[in-house]
Amino acid sequence: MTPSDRRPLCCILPPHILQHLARHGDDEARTVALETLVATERLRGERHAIADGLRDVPAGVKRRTLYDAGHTQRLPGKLVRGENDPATDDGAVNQAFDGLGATYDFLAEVMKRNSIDDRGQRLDASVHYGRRYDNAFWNGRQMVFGDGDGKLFQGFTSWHELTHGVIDAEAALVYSGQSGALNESFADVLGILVKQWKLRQTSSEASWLIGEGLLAKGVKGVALRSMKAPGTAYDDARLGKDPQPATMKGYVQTEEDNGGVHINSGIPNHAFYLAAVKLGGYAWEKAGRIWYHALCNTLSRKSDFAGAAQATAMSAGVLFGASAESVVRSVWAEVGV
Amino acid sequence: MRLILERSGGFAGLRRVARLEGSTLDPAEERCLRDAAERAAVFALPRELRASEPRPDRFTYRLEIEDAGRETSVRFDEAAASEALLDLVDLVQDLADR
Repeated sequence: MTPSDRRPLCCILPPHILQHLARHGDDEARTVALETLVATERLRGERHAIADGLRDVPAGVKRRTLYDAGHTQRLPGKLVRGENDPATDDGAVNQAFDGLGATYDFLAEVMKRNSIDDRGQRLDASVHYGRRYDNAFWNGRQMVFGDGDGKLFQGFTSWHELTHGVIDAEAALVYSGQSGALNESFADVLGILVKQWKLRQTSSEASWLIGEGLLAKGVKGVALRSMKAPGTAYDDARLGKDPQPATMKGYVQTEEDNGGVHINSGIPNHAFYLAAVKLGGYAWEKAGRIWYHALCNTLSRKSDFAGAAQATAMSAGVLFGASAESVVRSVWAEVGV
Repeated sequence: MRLILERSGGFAGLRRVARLEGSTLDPAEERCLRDAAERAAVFALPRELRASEPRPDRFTYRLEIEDAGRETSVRFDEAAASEALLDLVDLVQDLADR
């Protein structure tokens, strides 16, 4: 039997069974499952080609709504700017508005994704949350921004936090231990891609710094995290030293931070950086698409680092063939996974 | 009175520790702190106060408090804390930052 004879049967199988076969089946089952996943990708590509031909802009319309929480923790707060409203005189509102827009545009144009949930989800954000609240987060329904304490941080960007919404809608990686570190890493990966895409930077031109420019003046550091060189972003008397490891040798076992999700994310972050540089060009074109494909297709809620290595390698093979798969396997080996 | 508040998580993933001793606070501040702890019912809290599932980029805390012969230690998620407990957190951070 040729693969094409088997394909009609395989198309009946739902994606999660195809993925299981691709991962655990014997050689024959694995080949057929992978071919079906590729064929599905091609079909999806054809659907987009047809859709794009019918109109000049990608599917979906931005629907941003900005609220002012008035320094309380009650959400969403008072409505201050809608999608078609002009800029207000509150810089925090306008900055959040622009950040939401950039993330939406990246998801739509590069990943062909219609907002956070891929169904045109409205983008709501509240600013001025809490008193000197030095944090920002996605609460499952909306973005929330504090003002920072003025001493260590000066404002926040939307990209990382908003992409947590995408992760929740796709692999929904459990937010603790290694799956949590992967969750964090995917948010950093998607966030850094939005930035590099906005600035049209190649992998070799980009700084690979998360939260660049967020540290207040006088703080000894360049960013919150570095994907290129985990552990080097800051070293300051008040902040401490950047604790991120670049490889498994430095993996941190801790009860804090849900098992160190913001610390151990350095390892998968570094794997992504290496993949982007080795595949060359703009990071979102190959490495970004591979990682996004894994998030949507081959990762599961409880995937650990080894699972992510398998999933991204599989996605690389599906999208770009054997040589890309081999590059992805090698970068995970380089970080000790 | 002795109090330690450790914070981890947040999108920056930083670890912050605040330590307060009754002897270094003036009487009014100590009274304020004691009142806030009572309103938050800290000595009645379980050892762990968790959100139904950990949420991205939220803070997690560990509070250790000793006062008038009572002591307790509580680990809690920001998302699971009462408004009174969050007020206590704010007050501790304000006093420690002075």
